[in-house]
Amino acid sequence: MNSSPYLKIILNLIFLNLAHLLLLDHLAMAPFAYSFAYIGVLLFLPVEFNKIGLMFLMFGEGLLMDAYYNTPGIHAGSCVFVAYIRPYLLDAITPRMGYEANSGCSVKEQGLAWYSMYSFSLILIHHFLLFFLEAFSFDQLGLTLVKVLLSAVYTYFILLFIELAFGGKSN
Amino acid sequence: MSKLLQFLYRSRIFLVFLLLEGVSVWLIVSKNSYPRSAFLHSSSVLIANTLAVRSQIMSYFQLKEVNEVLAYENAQLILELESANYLIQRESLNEKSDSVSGKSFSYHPAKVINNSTLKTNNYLTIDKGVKDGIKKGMGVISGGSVVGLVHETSDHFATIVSVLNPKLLISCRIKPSGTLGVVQWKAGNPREVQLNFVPRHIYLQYGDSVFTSGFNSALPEGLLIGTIYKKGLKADEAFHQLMVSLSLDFSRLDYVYICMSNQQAERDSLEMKLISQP
Repeated sequence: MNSSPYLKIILNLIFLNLAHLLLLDHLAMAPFAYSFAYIGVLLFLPVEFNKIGLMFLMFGEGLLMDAYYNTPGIHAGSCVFVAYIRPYLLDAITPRMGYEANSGCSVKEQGLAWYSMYSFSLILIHHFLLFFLEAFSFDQLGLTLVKVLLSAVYTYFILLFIELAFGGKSN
Repeated sequence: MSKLLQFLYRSRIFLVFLLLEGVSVWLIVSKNSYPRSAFLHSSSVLIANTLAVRSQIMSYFQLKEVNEVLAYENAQLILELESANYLIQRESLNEKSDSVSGKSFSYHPAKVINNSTLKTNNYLTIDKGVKDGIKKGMGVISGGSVVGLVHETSDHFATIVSVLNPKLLISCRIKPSGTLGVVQWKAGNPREVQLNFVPRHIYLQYGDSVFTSGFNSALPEGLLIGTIYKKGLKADEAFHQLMVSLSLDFSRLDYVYICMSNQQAERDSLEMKLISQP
């Protein structure tokens, strides 16, 4: 890793936001599966990242998405929540040897099994909060749950694709 | 005191978490919060300009469909021109024109730069704003059908609450029976809306057309909303259960027309007096 980690993080941020707003949002598989691939901003960060900084970063990211989707607070709330639990999740699924210093969360560094476990659980929690805050009722519980599950799977695969296609270069 | 500070320092992560979640929840539940009207909508400058760039790129891929729509609208305009000519002829024969029958709406085209049909609450963003005379609450139509009402505005952009948003209720009239009802979308299918409050004694048929009633001063009367394609009547219900298939395909909206009413302010201020009086 030659470039500074912050430069990489910022490039990642810009790339994912543009990709999401310009393209990925339009690849929704009507009316059940939507991709909220911007959550990759959180997933692709290094393991060691300031916890408070992370929450503020995701709060800002959520507000940006709220402005785009006209849903004040919904994305911000879900993003802050996943940002809060990410360190706990990382602790819970520490590999047997522990994390290496400055290690990232990519498939190459941590292996597909670890990456899937990590990304899918965070995506699932994020989408769960997102869809239930959006519906704001348990009226159509079944429909909302189906949306949550299918969208989480969909987002997971899109992010896995992005990760495998573009993620390897910097290492 | 120092213990308290130590405690606060140790739980700082959780406190920041609570603070940010608190702000988010406040944004969700407060209806008219300042940040929402100031910048948290897709007519804000940053978002709207990004959307405008995307729309410019995407519009090349939609030229064919746009042509079709324009051709269709042209055809309708020709029809209207014919009927207008007929009216002029009739007028010149014997009838006096009436100041009341003068046009109460003017229409201004705008381009849709963002559109959703698959969310729980759907909105559109258009490339016209306050500087083009757009105000909150104006009606928006396309191809002789209702699109929605203007929701928020900025200098050069505006957001629209689409018909595909459960918050928007539209007063409508069913033809041929002439009954009034209220159209409301229920999250799910972007091609159909619910038609509520039609009393059970009314006789309805599949294919009956649903038009705007003109009771909402923002929308002209007689715009086609759709046709009844599903109906049911439970023994213990006072109203029909009706589904209307929309005549407009919201996923293909490209150009819309803003209805600027010359009389909306006058009419609304008159009708508001009824509400404010006991």
